[in-house]
Amino acid sequence: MFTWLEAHPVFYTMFFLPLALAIGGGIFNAFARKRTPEEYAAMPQRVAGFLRLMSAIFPDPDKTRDAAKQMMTNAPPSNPTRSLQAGESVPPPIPKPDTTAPLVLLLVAIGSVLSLTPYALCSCGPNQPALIPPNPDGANCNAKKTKRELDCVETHTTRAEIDACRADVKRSIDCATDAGVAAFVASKEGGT
Amino acid sequence: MIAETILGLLPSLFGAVREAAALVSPRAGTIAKYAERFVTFAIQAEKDGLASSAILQGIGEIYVDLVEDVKLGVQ
Repeated sequence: MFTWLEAHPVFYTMFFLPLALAIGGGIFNAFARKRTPEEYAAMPQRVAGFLRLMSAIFPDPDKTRDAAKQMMTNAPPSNPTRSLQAGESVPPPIPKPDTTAPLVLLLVAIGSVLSLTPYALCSCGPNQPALIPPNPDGANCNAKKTKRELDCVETHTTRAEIDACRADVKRSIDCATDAGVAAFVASKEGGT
Repeated sequence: MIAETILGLLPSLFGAVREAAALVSPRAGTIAKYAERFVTFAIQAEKDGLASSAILQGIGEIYVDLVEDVKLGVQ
């Protein structure tokens, strides 16, 4: 399997690795979700201790889900900061717990995972070739094209209007070929 | 060889999962639909040996389609 991945670095870097990390993140979030004391009490003690450790080290899964949802839907956060009413005093600040130790453990865990992941650090070595050759023009072209298509989705209200707007963008920018990227770079939009 | 065989089977497997998920709920059907699109695109990109910019463009289009579906709802 690893030999096959080595022979297909683009597949590995652009699909397999992000998908594996996303699935791993989902599993971690499931492990680290908030539980009631009753739920912990029903578990074997070592399992309960491990899950408490996980939920202490890794970020709050509820906040992660809220942030992802907000990013996707452009909706306001589910727990917005409200303004103070007349006569209401500012509550005292809640002291933050010392997060140094969990942060160090988190960094060690990330380092361990990265060092165990084949090819992830490959391009850091001085004599190692890059898995994917850098292509800043192609990346810029795709970033601007995707942004313009997202603008179409944001500004129009019906599917027909959105699809027509996106078709215009697709006709005007082609980032899939070298010629299309070169034309984009030569254009005014690509030069800025 | 085994990896190639598994990759060849994945699109039809995801197609079956999508149809089953659509029976459960529209949301599950949408998730399965985009999972199928992503996997199918990844396998096709690997077979065709697409350049990185072409892969980025394909992923970008799948993402914008998903945002559009989220905004307008699945029909």
